[in-house]
Amino acid sequence: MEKDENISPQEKIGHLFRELSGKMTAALSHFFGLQHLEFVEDVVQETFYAALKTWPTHFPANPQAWLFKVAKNKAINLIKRNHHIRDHLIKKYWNLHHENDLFSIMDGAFDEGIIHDNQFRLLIAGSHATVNSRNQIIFILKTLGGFGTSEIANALIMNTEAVAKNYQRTVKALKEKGIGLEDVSVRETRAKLDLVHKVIYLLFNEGYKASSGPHLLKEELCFEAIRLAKILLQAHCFNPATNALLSLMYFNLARFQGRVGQMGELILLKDQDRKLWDKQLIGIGFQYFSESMTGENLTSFHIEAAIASLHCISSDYKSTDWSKLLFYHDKLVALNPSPVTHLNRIVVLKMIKGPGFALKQLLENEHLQTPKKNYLYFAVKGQLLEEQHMFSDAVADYEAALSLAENQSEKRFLSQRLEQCKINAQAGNK
Amino acid sequence: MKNFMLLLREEIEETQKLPPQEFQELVAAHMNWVQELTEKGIFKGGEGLEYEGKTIKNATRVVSDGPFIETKECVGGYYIIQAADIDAAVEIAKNCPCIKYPGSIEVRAVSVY
Repeated sequence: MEKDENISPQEKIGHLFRELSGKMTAALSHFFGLQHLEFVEDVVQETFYAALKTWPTHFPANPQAWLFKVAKNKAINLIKRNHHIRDHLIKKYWNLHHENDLFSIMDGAFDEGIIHDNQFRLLIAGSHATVNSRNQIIFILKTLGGFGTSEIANALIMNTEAVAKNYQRTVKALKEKGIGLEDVSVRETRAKLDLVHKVIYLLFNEGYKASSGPHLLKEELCFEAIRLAKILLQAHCFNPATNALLSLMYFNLARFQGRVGQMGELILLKDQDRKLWDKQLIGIGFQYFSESMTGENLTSFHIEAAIASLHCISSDYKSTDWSKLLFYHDKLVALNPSPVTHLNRIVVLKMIKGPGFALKQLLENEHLQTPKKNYLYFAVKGQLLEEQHMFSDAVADYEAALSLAENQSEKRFLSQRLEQCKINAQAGNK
Repeated sequence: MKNFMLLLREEIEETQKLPPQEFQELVAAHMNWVQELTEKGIFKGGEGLEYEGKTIKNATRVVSDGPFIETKECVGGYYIIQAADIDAAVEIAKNCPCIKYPGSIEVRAVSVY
């Protein structure tokens, strides 16, 4: 034990186990094959257990090297004990002459560069194993993120059994589809990157959504999404969209503190205390943003990052460059014409042309309620009506929005507006 | 001052199921605790034990696998600390990080006469 250092052991280790869990899982999944994920998990758990038994009185000089060495030894023991797995590996690495060859192959799998590639491959494999985005997120959090089942359940507001079941389902699908890590070529995956970006952004938004889950854990999901996006960049896979996604996530993360009040209530952009926004994170956002300005493809991440950057640099709500924002929102709608992009554009339109004009546009686009009724349509409509003092009309829309909203903070916000409109409507009638 | 051995019994399956972050927090908590006792000068040693082992029944000389025969709990490690008496040792043991997890701590004075 090193006694003369002032930092505590916890500080020395940071988030080491989570990160190394992902690295060891990538290395071992590559070595054993994805169909043997349960062995991989056993080895990783046994490795941490060994650390628990040893570190309190013998803290290693290089914790990562120590854990990797133990993991390799545990894997070797497993091969020696289990004929089935040994036969499988001999078949997989068909040119084996001796057991020792197996061990040098394993050494190779723990090479830092190879680990990066395999983390990347695992990310691709996980995104393609299932079409269910929840399940993609669960698989990635568990394997690459080193999150436990109960942590995932808490963060995604699900029950633990459901998370475990969904994870097993994805593992089974990987087996059945025979997706192996070696099938994922790092060079040929550019086309598959779109889906991975989407999954990472979904993961980020799971963390970013202000809802009833534990705040800290939510923030960790956001950081995990950022870490995974950085893995994409590191896997020699330079892609402007990845940079755009990273800059968007940093711009949003920078505003994390300002957007939720002390009681967990949602604070609208116009009411946020911008002093709480993290300048340093905004700066990092701009670095990635400038890196994203290459190539020919303008992705929705680029436009969303541009929108977020405008908010980040405006000193207050009023002085925001709304006409520039409208320009970006027009582009976003053209690129991705969904009800959500349309509705967000209408909110910006309101800032320039007033609530009356925006409401007219909204009513001309009744289809924005479809395909399934979304709360945002009614929330926006309610707001536009409220701002024109048509309180009793607004009540009906806020009620509709409230019945469709799922997120706790949004519900709380909508019921506040609803109550206020009811009061105002009554006052107007008298 | 006397030496006391803290025999840490754990439910191994529960410990092994811990997610990485919690594992790490437990490891760090043990390290902190050892450091703290060392600074006070009352930490006398300790080791963790691997979970695989053998047990020999004396009279029959039958050797069986595993240190744990019937119970889910098994000794996962030990610490030796210094305390004025058994009550003081128990108070110290109550702060051992493993107290938060299923299992038990047996506090025994090291016999010196």
